[in-house]
Amino acid sequence: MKISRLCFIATTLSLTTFATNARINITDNITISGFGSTSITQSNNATPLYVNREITEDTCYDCDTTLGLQGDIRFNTNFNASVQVVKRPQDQWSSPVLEWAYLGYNVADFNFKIGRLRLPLFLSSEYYYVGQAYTSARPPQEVYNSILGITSYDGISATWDIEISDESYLTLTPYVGIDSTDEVDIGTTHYDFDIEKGLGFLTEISGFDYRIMFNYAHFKYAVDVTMPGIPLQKYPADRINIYTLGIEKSWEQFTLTSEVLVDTMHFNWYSSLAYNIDKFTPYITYAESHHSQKNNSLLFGLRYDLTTTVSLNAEWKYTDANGGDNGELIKDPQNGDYDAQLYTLMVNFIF
Amino acid sequence: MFKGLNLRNFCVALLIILLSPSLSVSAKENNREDEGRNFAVFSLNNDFPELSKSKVRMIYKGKVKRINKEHINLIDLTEEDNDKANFYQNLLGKSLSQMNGYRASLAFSGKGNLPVTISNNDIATILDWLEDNPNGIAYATIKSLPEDVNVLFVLDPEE
Repeated sequence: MKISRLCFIATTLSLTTFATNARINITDNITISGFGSTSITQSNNATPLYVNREITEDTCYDCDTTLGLQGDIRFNTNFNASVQVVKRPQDQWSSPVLEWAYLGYNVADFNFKIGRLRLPLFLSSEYYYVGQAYTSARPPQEVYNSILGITSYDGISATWDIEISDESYLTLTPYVGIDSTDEVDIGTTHYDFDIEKGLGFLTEISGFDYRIMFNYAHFKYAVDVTMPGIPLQKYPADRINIYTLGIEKSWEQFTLTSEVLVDTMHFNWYSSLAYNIDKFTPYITYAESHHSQKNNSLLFGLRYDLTTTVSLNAEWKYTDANGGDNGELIKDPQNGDYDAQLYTLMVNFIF
Repeated sequence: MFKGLNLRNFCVALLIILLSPSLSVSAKENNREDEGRNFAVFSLNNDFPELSKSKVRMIYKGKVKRINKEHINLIDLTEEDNDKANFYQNLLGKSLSQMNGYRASLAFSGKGNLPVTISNNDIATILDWLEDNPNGIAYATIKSLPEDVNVLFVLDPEE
């Protein structure tokens, strides 16, 4: 506990100090930038809450700690490259992951990318680990955590920006993934995913005060499961179709955001309303999960923008697994408690 | 239901944030002082056409990256006075906090056309930058503009 508390304090101080500096322009065409988040958080349920974060009734100083570094190189007006390395909440400091690394090519209204790319399933997918970029401390977990934290794929994407009018743009992005692997730990159970192939199509219509996105993705995958004391279990290849819809609309200081995910295992959705008053943004989110993880939750939060690059979140969330499934708890609760209250104080920064 | 959790500590922390000194300094009060100050979006590139409000909104949201098939570069003011806050409030209805969050999403998703923040808001500095960037677009109060710039759009706060 003492070590994690010291880590939290050191991380907060050093990172927020670091964040006072803007992004680093090594040359006009090479930039290094970064982002991070860390929190004090606690649940009132002994059973860990959230895959990849595992928050319990013990005050946690590193359940959300994230640090990312991004390097961008622009070779000319057409070609660019970008690399992003992230220490995600579930990673050790010594083992960050390569979240993306791609070559990009722009010509006219088209953009092509090849390499490791971000899976564009949700409104905030492409900046999922950048807490400074969205209002709440964490993107609503009912939707964003339903794919177990798998956020990238290896492959190619093509984006076509179409100007419908001065006020609205249509963006079409087909993408194809090649064979890749990913790992997820849920408690003491280890999952090795072999994603044999994937393809998808993202459609987005946007204006200055709204975004509507629809995504279809298809994956063929196999999974090996390792549990303590049990021989390795190999599951045969399976296929999954994932449909997501997201809407974001602003009315002056109000912003309404809703997203829904539908696949063979989930029907999950949330709606969130935020009201900005200068540096303060109070927000409320209601979410439901159906099928494999029945759950509903209510969240109240407040974001405070300390500077242009540092923000704070204070949140309270009540989540209830409806007495049947585990919901957002990662395993069956030993104490029979299927609901939990979650308290979070978080600091986010970019540089 | 609450199981004696650290609700009190949580509330204390929340109060500390809420009562921080900056709350008492309302940007809205400052904004009122500057109401009526009109901004112009301008360039030194005379090939750029006059722009609609919708187009300018999409430019500053990072969606429009080219004009006349030329890649455009944007410059942003510093926050040393209220001009930047007023410009975004009048153009997009967004506070600087909202804009900063939005721009963070663009920066870390590899999307959008992000403006470069200038070293100071002096019109001479803005003009120097525009001279170095032939496809550059800037904004400033109308009264500060010299006559020989290409005004692309005038932002009327009453609209």
